[in-house]
Amino acid sequence: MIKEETTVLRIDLASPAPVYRQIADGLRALLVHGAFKPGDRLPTVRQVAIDLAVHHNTVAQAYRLLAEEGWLDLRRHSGATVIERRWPRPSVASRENFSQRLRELTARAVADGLDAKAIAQQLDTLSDELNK
Amino acid sequence: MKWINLNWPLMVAALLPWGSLALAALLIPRLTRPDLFFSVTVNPTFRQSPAGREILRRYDRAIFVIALMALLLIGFVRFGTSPLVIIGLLGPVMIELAGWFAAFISARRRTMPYHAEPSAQREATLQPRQVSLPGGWLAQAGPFLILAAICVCLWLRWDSIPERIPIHWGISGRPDGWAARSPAAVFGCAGIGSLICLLLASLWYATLHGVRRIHSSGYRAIREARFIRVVSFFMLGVEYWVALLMGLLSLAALRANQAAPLPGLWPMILGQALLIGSIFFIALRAGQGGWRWGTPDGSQTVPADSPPVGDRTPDACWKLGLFYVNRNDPALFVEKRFGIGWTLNFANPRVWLVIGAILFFVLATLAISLRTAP
Repeated sequence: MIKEETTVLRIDLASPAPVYRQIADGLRALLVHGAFKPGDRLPTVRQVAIDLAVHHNTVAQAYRLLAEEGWLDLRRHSGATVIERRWPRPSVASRENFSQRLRELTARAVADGLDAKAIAQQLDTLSDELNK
Repeated sequence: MKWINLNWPLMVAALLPWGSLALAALLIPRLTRPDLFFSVTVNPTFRQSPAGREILRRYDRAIFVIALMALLLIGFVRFGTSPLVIIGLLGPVMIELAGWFAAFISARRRTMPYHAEPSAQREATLQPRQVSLPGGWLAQAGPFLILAAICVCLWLRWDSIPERIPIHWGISGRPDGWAARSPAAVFGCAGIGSLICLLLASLWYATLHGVRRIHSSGYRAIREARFIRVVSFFMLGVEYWVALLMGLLSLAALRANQAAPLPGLWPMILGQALLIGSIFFIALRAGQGGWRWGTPDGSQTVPADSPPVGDRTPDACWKLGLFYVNRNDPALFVEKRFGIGWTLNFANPRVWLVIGAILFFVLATLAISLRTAP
């Protein structure tokens, strides 16, 4: 049984990030945190597009991106299904990219006035969630 | 005492739509979402501001004047002869609709300078939508089963149906249209009833599938889901009411004295009044999208500092504040900005399917009526 609160996707139209990217990032985060299990069906492109009030091609693009990453199986008329994903071996470049982005993100948070301890606590919580 | 000789059913038939329209015109601005005022996105607290109150006051005043003007026309009903009676019946409704529209447009124009940018945040649940109809398929099939049972009853008692039967009744309940006994004349009413029920059920099913959920989490989402559920029950109730009404009219063919007025005229008028009363009751309790049900802590208002959420549609796409035309919005049904319930996105190509279904219903009804006419 999927909990409703854990499956809500949020986007910000005022954000400079493209909407399809926001949808893909939000959905990927839910998948990584185990909100969906292999075999779970996702709503149709049309339903998500209607609720977010965005063009259905935007949602379709996000679904396709996640299908290419191996998270979803897309079939015409039957929507998107979550599939068992093979976790790729991380490359050196992707590790470096992650470290760099994390450093930039924490620096941004500190610059915005967030307490270093609070940031560390947040990272700990995230780590616990990922290890569950 | 001339008033004693009044044609009361005729007077009620004129006063009921007059009163309903006047009341609806006064209530609707108070029932729309707090951040939508005369079809313009505003801050949730705007309607309590002096400017907001002044706009509403002017609008109320205009509606009162229009309603009084329309009431004067209802006096023509007492003459009871055509075309004066038509003026008394249709005139007030036309005046009220035209006046209401003018008052709305004027109030909207005055609200526009206070337009607020809606929140850029959007949310959607990633659970596939479960569309459940109240009572399941059996309850949904009920109206059709009632009409089918009445048709079977008429078919079994075919020989006891007179050669000439009434197919139309005046406002006094007396038959004013007759036809020779034929399948079209006998089953016509039930056929029209089935078509109306089919249209209502299809439209509602399409709405449930295609409507946008403004909120996907928290108490606002719960309120919205509850609102949809309540409207689902209401729509089912309307279908049963139509089936019973058309079924009873069909059974009139079995009456011994065909020329006698219908015995159930007052119950029919009361039924109509009950139907209109239910719409007002639901609208007053729930408000558009159920926002009047309030918050879990009992407060009725949204936080003053929160940006307007509106209905996730841009103001610019609302033509005259009433018609939604947005090519970039995939939704076929969107919440009405000025009213309770949903309206169509007229830029969506699938809108022609809905219009086609309504046209089909009108043409089919016309075809049945023509076939039953003597």
